[in-house]
This record gives sequence, C-alpha cells and structure tokens, in this order.
Amino acid sequence: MNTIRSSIRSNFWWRTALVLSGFLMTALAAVAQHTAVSTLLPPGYHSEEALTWCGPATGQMIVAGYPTSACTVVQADVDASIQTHKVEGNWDTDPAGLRASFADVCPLPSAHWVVFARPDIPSLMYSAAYWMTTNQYPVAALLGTTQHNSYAPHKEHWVAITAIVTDVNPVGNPTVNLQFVQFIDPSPTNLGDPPMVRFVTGAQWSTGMTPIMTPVTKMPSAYNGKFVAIIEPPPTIGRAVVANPLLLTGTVIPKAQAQRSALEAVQKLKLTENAAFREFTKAKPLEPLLVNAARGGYYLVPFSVDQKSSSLAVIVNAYNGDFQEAGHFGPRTFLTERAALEQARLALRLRKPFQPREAKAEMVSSAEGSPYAPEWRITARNLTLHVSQLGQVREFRTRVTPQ
Amino acid sequence: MKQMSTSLCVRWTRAALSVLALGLALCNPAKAATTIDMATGVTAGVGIASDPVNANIYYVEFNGGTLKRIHITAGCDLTSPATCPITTVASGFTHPEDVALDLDHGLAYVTTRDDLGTTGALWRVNLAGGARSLVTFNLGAPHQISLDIPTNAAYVIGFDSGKLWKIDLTTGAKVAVMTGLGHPVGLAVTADRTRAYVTEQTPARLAEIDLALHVRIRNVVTGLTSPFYLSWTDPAQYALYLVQRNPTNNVLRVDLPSSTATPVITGLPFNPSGIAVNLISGAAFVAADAKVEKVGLATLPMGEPVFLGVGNVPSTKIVDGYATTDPGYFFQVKDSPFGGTLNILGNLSNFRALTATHYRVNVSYEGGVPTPLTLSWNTYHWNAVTGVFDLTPVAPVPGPDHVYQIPADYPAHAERWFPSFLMMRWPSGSNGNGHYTFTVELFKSSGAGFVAVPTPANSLTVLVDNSGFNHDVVAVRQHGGSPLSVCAIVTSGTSKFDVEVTAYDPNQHLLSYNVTALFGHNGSSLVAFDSYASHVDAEGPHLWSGVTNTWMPAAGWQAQCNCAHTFYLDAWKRTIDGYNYLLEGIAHQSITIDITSGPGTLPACP
Repeated sequence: MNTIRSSIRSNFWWRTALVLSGFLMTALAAVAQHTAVSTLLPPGYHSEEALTWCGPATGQMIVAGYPTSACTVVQADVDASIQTHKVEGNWDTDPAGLRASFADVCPLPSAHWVVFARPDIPSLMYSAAYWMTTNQYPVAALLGTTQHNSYAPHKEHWVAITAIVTDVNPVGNPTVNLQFVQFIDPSPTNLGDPPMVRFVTGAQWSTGMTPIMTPVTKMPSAYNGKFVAIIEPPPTIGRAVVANPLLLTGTVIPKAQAQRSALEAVQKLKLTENAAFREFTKAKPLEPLLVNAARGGYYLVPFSVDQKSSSLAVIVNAYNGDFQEAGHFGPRTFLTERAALEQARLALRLRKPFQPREAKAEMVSSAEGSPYAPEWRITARNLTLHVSQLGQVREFRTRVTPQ
Repeated sequence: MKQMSTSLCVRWTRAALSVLALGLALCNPAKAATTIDMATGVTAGVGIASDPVNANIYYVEFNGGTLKRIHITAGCDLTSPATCPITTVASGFTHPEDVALDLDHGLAYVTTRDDLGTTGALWRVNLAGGARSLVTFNLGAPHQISLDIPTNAAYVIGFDSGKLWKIDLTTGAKVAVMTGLGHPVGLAVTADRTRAYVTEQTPARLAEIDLALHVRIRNVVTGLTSPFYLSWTDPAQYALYLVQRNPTNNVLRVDLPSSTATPVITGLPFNPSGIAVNLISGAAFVAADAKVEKVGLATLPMGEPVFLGVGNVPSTKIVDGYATTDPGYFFQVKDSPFGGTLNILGNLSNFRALTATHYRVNVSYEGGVPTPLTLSWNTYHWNAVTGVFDLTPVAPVPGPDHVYQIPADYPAHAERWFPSFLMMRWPSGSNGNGHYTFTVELFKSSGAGFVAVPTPANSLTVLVDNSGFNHDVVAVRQHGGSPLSVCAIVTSGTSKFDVEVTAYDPNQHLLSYNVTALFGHNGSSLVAFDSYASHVDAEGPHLWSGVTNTWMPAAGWQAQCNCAHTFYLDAWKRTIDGYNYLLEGIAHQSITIDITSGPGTLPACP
C-alpha cells in the first residue's frame, strides 16, 4: 500500500481550501445575504482507473482531502480494501466497503466515518452540510444506482462532494436552503479523461425530471430506496431544502438569451475565483446546445479559450435561463448536427447526404446520464438513431404494442 | 543473411502450414544459424507478437509511438533485408512497451509507459482499423503483457510499481497479484495460471511467482544482464526464451526444471527487448533497438525432447543416423548404425502436456515422402489388481488416421508400462539399408476424429545396415612360409605362425575382429585383434571396412606347446538394435603342431 501521510501536497490542498473558501464565501455573499459554505475542500482530483472504480476513485479523493493527515494512496489499494470489507456482494463498491476503506487506507484516531442512508435528500444533505462545516471533511455521495458509463453492468455512481452552499449556517439552524453543491465526478465520459468538476444548484441536485442524486434501486440491498452518503462523523437531524425547484417545461428561450444567462451566472457567482473554474477568466461562450427541448430541457453553453475545444461549460434552464450548474472536464469538442447526420448516414449505408427535412436531429440526454455529453437523436426513414459525442451510432426501434 | 553461432546446430526443412511437425535432423554442432532483418530503421523496438495464422508480426516502437505490422508474404523473408510489407496499425502512443494479440476478437493490447498525467496505461487496439480505447491506467510503467483470454484478463508487469497486475479486460479493474518486485520487466504466465515468471532488473534475475499464494517461490536464474522480455519456447512450457539487452545482446533458453540458462541466440543487434515464437514457420522474431530480426528456430536447442531414444541410445546421441554414446555409459557405442527391430521411445508425458491424446509416427526413406507406421506389438502393463505386469497388445486406432492412443497413465504413472515411453517397435529395413527419418505428429480427439495439436519441431534419423559381412580364416602358415593345408601336421621348422584373415564389411561398418588360437585343454592365446576404435573415420566419416586376406600378426604368432591348434576368428559389425550389437561372424581353421626337434622345438601341452 503506497500511503504518504501529511504530504506537502495535502498541506497545499488544505491551504488552498481555506483560500477558496474565502473566495466562494465572498462570491456567494453577493448572491444571498445569508449564504453559508459548509466546506470547500479540493482534494486531489482523480478519475476512475477502471469502468467499475468510481467508488475507489472517490475514496482516493476523500482521504486526500482530509483537513489534516491526508493520504496519497493508490486507487488499486482502495479497491482492494473495498473488496475486503464489502458487505453487499452485488455492488462493485457498497457503502460499507467504501466507508471501511477510508479507515483502512488512511486511518485517523478521531475519525469514524458513518454511512448515512436517508429516505429523503433534505435530511441527508443537511447532515452533509452540518458536518462539512464542522469538521471540514469532504463527503462521499452516491448519486444513484443506474448505469452511468459505457459498462452497463456497473450501476452505482460515487462522487466526492467538496462544497455545499446553504443560505444560513447549518450549525445552529435545523432548516437551511440548499443553494449549490460542488462535487468531483471520477467517471468522465471517456475513461482516462480528467475527472469532471461540477458546481450545481440545489434544485439541479435534488429536483426536476432527472435530479442528480437519486435513491438506491438495487435489489437486494439494505439501502434500497435510500439516499446515501458517507460523512464524518455521527449524524445530526435537520433539513436542507430547495427553495426554487427546476422548471421542467415551457417555452424554450433563444440561444442568445441562454448564452447571456450563462455569462451572467459566471460573473454573478464569481466562478473565476473558484480554483476549479478559474479558466472562465479567459474563456468565452460558444454557441449553446439545446438538450431535451420538450421536457427537462437545458442549454449546454460551452466555454472555450481558443474558440475550438472546451473544458468548461455552464448549464442553464431552457425555459427561464436560470443557472443550473457549471462543469469542468477534459478538453473536448461537441459533435455538430452536421457531423451527427453524417455518422447516421454512414450507419444507414446511404450513398447521399440527407436532404433538407429528410432527417430530424435533436439533442437528448445520453444513456450514461452525463449532462455534458448529450447525444444526437436522428429520426429518419422510420428509424431513430442515437449518435454519441464520440460518433458511435445506436439504433432505437419503436416498440409496437399488439392491438 | 547473417550467420550466428549457437550451441547446437540442426538442419531444418520448412513445412507447409498445415503440417505442424517440422523436420529436424541433428547435424554437426559446429554449424551456424541464420537471421534475417525483417525491419530496419526501427525507432526503439520493444515488444513483439506473432500471428502465425495470418502470417503477421506486430511490434511497437518506443520512440515512434507506433504499433506496426509486418505481413509475411510468400518468399519475402528468404533474403536479408526482407521485403515484407510493413504497415502502421496505430500511432500516437506515448512510449509503448509491449503488444499482445487476441486474434479471436481481432484485438491487440498495448502497454504505454508514461501517458501524460498517468504512470502508464493498457490500451485495446482494433487490428482492423487501428481504433484504440483505454483499458486502465496508473500501472507504474507497465511493460510486458500476458493475455489470458479465457478469463478475459491480462497480466501486466509494472516496472516502477514493482507490481504484477491482473487486469479485467472489460472493466479495467486491476488487482496486484504480486508486489515488491525489483523493477520487473518481462513476464510469462503458465497456461494453468498457477505460475508467473518475471524478469527483474534489481537485481537482475528471473523469479518464479505462485499466483495463488502471491509469493515468490524461487529465483530461477540470477546474475543476468539487463534481462528483458520472456517467451515460452513451446506449448509444453518447460522452458523460456529470455532476452538480455546490451552488452550481452542475446537470448537465453532457461530450462525451468533444471534452472539452467543457455545462450541460444547470440550476436543480436543493440538492445534486443522482445521475442515472439512462431512454431508453425519455425522461427523466432526479436525486436531490437533499430531492427526486427527473424531467427530460425531450427538453430536453437529444443526445450523438451520428442524422441527420447532408440533402446538404450538417447535420441541426441544419434547423429547422421549413427549412434555414439559416451565413455562411462553402460552401453557405449561409436558410430553404430541400426538394425533389427528398434524400440523407439517417445516423450509420451510431454505429449500429454501438449494436450495431445494421440500420436502418429511417420517414416521416410532417404528423404522420400513420409508415411505413417501402422505396426502392432506386445508390451507389459501393470495390473493394479493382481499386482503383476500383464502382456498387453499395442496397435493403432482402427481407421484411416493411423494414430496411437497415448495411455492415460502418462505422465503421472509412466512406470506402469514396461518398457516405459515405448512409442513404436519398428522392424528396420523395410526398404533395405539406408537413412530412415521418423517424425511425430500429435492429435487430440475431436468428435469422431482427431485434430492436430501444435507439435514441437522434431525428427529422428537412423541409418539402417542389416547386411552381413565377409569373415574367414583363409589360411595358416609357418611365419613367412607357404600356406599349410587344412589340418596339416607341422613337425619341423619355426614354431611361429601367421594367420590369413578376412573380416571385411563392404558397408564399412566393421566393429572389430579377433583371432584366437585354441589348443589343449582350454588353452588359448590371442593371435590378432583390431577394432574401429583404432580406425575411427579411417575411410571417411563413420567408416572402416576391416581387413581382407591379410596375414597377421606381422611378427608371427609364437606357439607355446605341441598340440592340435584351432585358429578362431570372431568378428562383429557395429550395427545395433539399441541394446546390443547384432551381426557377428565366426570362422576357424585347425592344424596340429608337433615340433620335437630343431630350433622350433616345443614342449607338450599340459
């Protein structure tokens, strides 16, 4: 096991965290008069080294983000510990295994991590915010148990929460408004890409058609139907509710308005002062991409320094332009409609390009669920094709119900 | 074409792809091997893999960042440099270290040492289009790969991490099955997944790892020089080829049971790294810093023997068809041809290890077309119930395949057969005297028939000489005088005698002759003796005819007493059946010596 305690690097992270906390506090004070930041610990960022290793990668980031005596560990060692301590065998990483791995690979005399499994998000997020504020440890959160990458059998999706923003300090206030959550998703769209840093609104996190955090749906499991996070240390009762739920339908706003909303959000939230989003300083928004226009719609507004590839994006609501989240990911270009149609043509082995109105193209959420990698849905010749950002084509056949 | 020295030299014939057993004839050990430059201008070649089915060789270039393919077209690799087409399969790798092939799925796997932001990765490459995808990363400077396709896994060695990883090829999940290795580089895993062999550079040695217990069992060989990649010599997995980089620039063959390392390919270009064996084409391919080289496997010592021997003569002691065993061995022969019925012993245990259930023995006469043998014989097999050896018939499996079943007792209980390892009993000389070459093909049952099992290159050539020879005591005379009549009574003159002898083999395979004078009551005296030991290669390699109509001894033989005397000739050829000399010739002639006066006067015999 390769463990380095109290490394210079982890001290650096801690000092950086304090600075960033101040920045974000200042930034968010402009948004809400009584904003409180539970914590902002940027642990060492790691993406998963295997398609089933979002849990070990999260564990690796959690122990790197201890406020003191942080550890730099090898992801394989975290996984080995998880497999040793796993209680429910139908998980690649179950909550008990991940919790035990923290103490195993980076033990602390005073730390005794607890698995929080709650029937609702508000009580879970309150506990997370309360203890992050109190103890300054990051939180391992289970976003859900549905497929989230190209390996369908892998279900659970672990991330490291590095910041929770509430309207008032959760310490001393049993009910707070959940305003923002910042987390690091170790499962990028392409294995090997950097992990994705996401800064999302409370509404995006917990409400809407496709909330980011969903309950466990594994069977059998003691956690079934529960929202799960691993928090240091014991539970405290309270609620972190969402003030303004997401707008799910309505009239789609123009692209220009979406672009303006994205720019305003960057400035208003002072995201350039957040280490993960400092690149916004030099970046300019590209043409917004409309995803899920009919319901649960959002504009994905890429930001680029060189006006070509993007490693930043802001997501705003498609119907009112409200900020939903910002993300930092590995540099990429987004597949254009023309390129998607060409991929579809090749898949259908058509000799000539589609004629105008012969094919309908629209962007929809990807099967893997990342809002930053939407797919093109091409409808042509009674067929529906989905074209991923990598140009991979899948065919969807309409199921016919016997009369 | 370059010449390269090896410790043992054999002569090969290249077989058709469908024929897995290759002809191998042992020849003079002093001969040299050949290599061919398959690719030049290589930018730091490291890992290499062979695709014998499609006649392709794949290699990676560390500096070039490429995976390349050499396609071996007909005749393109017969002269050096070769003219085989080379294409780039995939490029843009960051310091690739090794390539391994999963031909069933049209894939290659490539390790890269230090991709940006990682400590090295394992990639999957589509051999058809070159598209690649990441399997996993942060392996700690990964080097050699050993694929285990049946379990969808790869074993990869990490130079910096000191770990041996087992990687799930679908998910990329990895487990360190061994840690604490000293800058490991090369890797070979047994087919049963119980053992891994790893070259380490700190210190330079070859380690044997128990994959179940995750422990080092032993250091097979120590004191190596910049050891690099490994390859099994053949499917039996009893021996490894181990590449050593500069300054030795050679390949060792490491025999695992005996823990011995023998240089088998020397004089390689600077910094050889990888070696891939293609048994079908009888070649090994070595990736070096600036070249990819082809080395004829015929030039290398074999890992395990196919033929064990003929009778008491080990197979490797039969050269040019003649048997020669060493002084001190209980059955010492020199330049002996074969005759009679030969017990041909085969490595039935190793055949089992090669997954074979049946074997076929072919024989060709003087380089002609091999034909399968369909002979039957009786042998003994231990009856565990009665506790005795029972006479047991052996015969080929009925049908057109001419194969013999390998008894299930092998390899665990070879002792239950007497003699053990008896593969064929062959009455020699069906086509007369000459060279007969045996080859073995291996098979395993498949439905109602048999399918070929890759067989190590093999052949055994024996020279058959079943002919008799001339032998006679032609005449007897008093020393320097005229021949005496048969049964003459000599009463005067000298008591020294000459004997005229013929002991002559037109085939020049005479072993020895001796002439003895017999007299009185058990009296005897050696008159003359000679043997091949005094005439080795006298008339050419392996040849000595003997004598014809020759008076001996030169100074005459001194009689000792008066009595009837018989001059007795006993001559032998060198022909053996593996256990004994076979061809003897005897003759005699008698006279009576009764010289009672004069200078040759003799006493009466007791």
